[in-house]
Amino acid sequence: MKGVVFVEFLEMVEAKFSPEMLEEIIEEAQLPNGGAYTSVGTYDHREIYRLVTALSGAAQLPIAQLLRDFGAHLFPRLVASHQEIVRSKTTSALDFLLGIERHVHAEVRKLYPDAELPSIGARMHGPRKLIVEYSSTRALADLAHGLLFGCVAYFGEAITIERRDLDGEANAHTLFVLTRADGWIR
Amino acid sequence: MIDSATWQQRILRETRARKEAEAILESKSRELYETNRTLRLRERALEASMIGVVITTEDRIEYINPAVERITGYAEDELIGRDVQLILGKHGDQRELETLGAALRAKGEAQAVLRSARKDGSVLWIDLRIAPVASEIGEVTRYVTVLSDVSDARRYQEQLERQSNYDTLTGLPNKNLLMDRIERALAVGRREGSLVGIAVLDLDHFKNINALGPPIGDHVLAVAAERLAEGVRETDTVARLEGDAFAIVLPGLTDGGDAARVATRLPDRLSSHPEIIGVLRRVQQALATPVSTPREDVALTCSFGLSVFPHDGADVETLLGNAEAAMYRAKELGRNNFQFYSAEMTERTTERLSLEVRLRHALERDEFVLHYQPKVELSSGRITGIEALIRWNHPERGLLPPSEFLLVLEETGLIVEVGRWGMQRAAREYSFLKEAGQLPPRIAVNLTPLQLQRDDFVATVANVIDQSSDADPGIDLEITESLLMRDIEATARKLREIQELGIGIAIDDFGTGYSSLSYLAKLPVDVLKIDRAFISALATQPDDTTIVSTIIKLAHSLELTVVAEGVETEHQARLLHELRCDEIQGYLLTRPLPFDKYVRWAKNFSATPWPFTEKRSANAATHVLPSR
Repeated sequence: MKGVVFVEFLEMVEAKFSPEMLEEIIEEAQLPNGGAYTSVGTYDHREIYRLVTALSGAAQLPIAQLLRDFGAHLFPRLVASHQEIVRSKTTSALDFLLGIERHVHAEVRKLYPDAELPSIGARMHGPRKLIVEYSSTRALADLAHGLLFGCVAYFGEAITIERRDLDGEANAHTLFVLTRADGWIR
Repeated sequence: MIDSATWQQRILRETRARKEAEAILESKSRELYETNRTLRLRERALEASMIGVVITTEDRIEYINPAVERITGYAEDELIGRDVQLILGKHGDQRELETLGAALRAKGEAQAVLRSARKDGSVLWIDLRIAPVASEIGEVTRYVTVLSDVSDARRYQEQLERQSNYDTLTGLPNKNLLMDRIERALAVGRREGSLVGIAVLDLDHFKNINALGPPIGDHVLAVAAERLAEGVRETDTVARLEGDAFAIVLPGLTDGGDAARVATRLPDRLSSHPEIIGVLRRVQQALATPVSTPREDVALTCSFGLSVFPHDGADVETLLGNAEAAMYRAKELGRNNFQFYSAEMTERTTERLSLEVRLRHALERDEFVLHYQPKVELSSGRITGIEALIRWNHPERGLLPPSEFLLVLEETGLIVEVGRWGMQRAAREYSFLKEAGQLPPRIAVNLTPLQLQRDDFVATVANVIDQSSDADPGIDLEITESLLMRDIEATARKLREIQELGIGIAIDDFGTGYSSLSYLAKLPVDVLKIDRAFISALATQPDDTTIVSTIIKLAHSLELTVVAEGVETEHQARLLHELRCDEIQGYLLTRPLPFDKYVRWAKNFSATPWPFTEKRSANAATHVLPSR
């Protein structure tokens, strides 16, 4: 997993909880590098679990909710540092998500040939409904869920997100149904 | 307020992260350096390349290598960011551009040769290949074009096209250029009132030479071409028409001081054109020296046909056509001569064409017949054999002798098929003669050069013999002497194979060709037939008597049977008997007869006393009878 995710996570913990909380969960998580993440590095994705699990314990909040919140926090941060990826002509969340494999993941692969990206299948179902299929061995459907929240919030649209886990609690294969509120004509 | 322990931990963590980031950056820079080194190497190759490389996005030029600058004359900054049309040119062949466009729209590769222009406006021919470059996700955003300057090659090709006015084998002008030269000569003739001679010539019996192998044929043609060119005046043009046919244009001729005589076409046209005759004689002389080839020395003669502007035609086609008609006449008249065109020849040419068409159908319509002429032993009066002679029962003109159609048969190659027919028919009628009780010991069939030269010749003869019911086919083959001398080794081999089939070999028309008895000794020959020309002169020309006598003596020493052809008088027969000739053939006995008439003749002849029988017994002690 790219270092930027860890860096953002640590920054979020520091901002939303406290610097002490951050040091506490770093110690609790027993990370190989002691939490010395850099955005240009690549790290084992299991470390984000350890961090979230430690945070969950320290803050008394569910892991799933923490991951969703982190996803929502992460989205605008990623966009901010990779403006060129969000093509200027993309003005809606659904458009952006439709092109995520083709444009976003393609660009990520150019920058980081070693990046291991989840498979995001997106297809329209009628004019207002987009179905996003998340599938990844990382089992981070909650993080994806949060990113979708972040995306919808970023474009400022009235879109509801329904979630259907296809593998129970495993979090590795999930459908998200995004429905745009009436009044939007594509 | 952050407590100091937290602060310290944080600083430690950030220092560690910074060091890791630096380590990652360092390794990335090394990676980048390696990649750049490879790229620089490739860029160096691109820059050193003689082939132009252009990279375009959409249709704008993004990159060019220095070769493009050299090829187009444009500097890099004049091209970067500009429309690629600047290089490809707008005056390129529309069709090529369309093909190119279609291939690119289909995101495929394309190749084309386009006419463009350099910066200085000079014509630039470029051979270009365009290939799309797909991004990681399969999107085509760039095209790589490699191009080379093919202007020189193009110029060379155009030069070659211009040179197509010349025949590649002989280097002589070809028919295209000939027509042009005649046209010009005629223009001058019209302006200045001078005459233009057109000679068309054909090497005699070139088919036989070519049968020695195409390389030999080509060599002979090239030598002939050189000699033709040597023989003519500087103002004349020698051209190769096709195959072994050449033409000479003789411009600026005068009327030989007697325009009226030429104009009225008095018979003696030869003396009216001393210049033409002079040239033709020189050409004939130049050709006469035998040409050396790896197989044998070849003597060349040719037949000329002549037409003269303005008397024989006012335009190129007519003059060439008439000269050609005259050449055919020259060939009919025994080759190695020249003929001026006359109006009757056009008629003859037309006739010849209709003859050719009819001949093609003569076999299937069963229009050929065989006539038979007997040979008789002088000492006994016994019929020793008959010669089968072909006749054509022309539906309109009646029975025609070979002189009327043999030439056309040979030229069209029909002779091979007709020759095979002749052998088959002779073998069949020979068995009929047997049934009629008039069986001559042998039947002789004439062979033409083309038949003998064919690889399947022996097989064809064997096949004919297989089909005949008789154990002894009784067939002789008559071959003209000149024919035998060609490629003597191969001929001897074939003849020996033929002999093994029980077939006798006779030399026909002996004395008219090489007359080389030493060659004769090498060949498996059984019979020698002395040409009629010697026989007809026997009584009047003492020299000919000596020649005939010598031939007979030498032939006997080689144990050959000697037959005199064309014996017409009893006086000739008597002389031949005295010279110890073995057999005679000719009108004294009978003209060639159809099958049924021959049967009747043979019956009568056997019943008639033979005038030389007594003499034979008187000479019996000294007469050497060659074994057959």
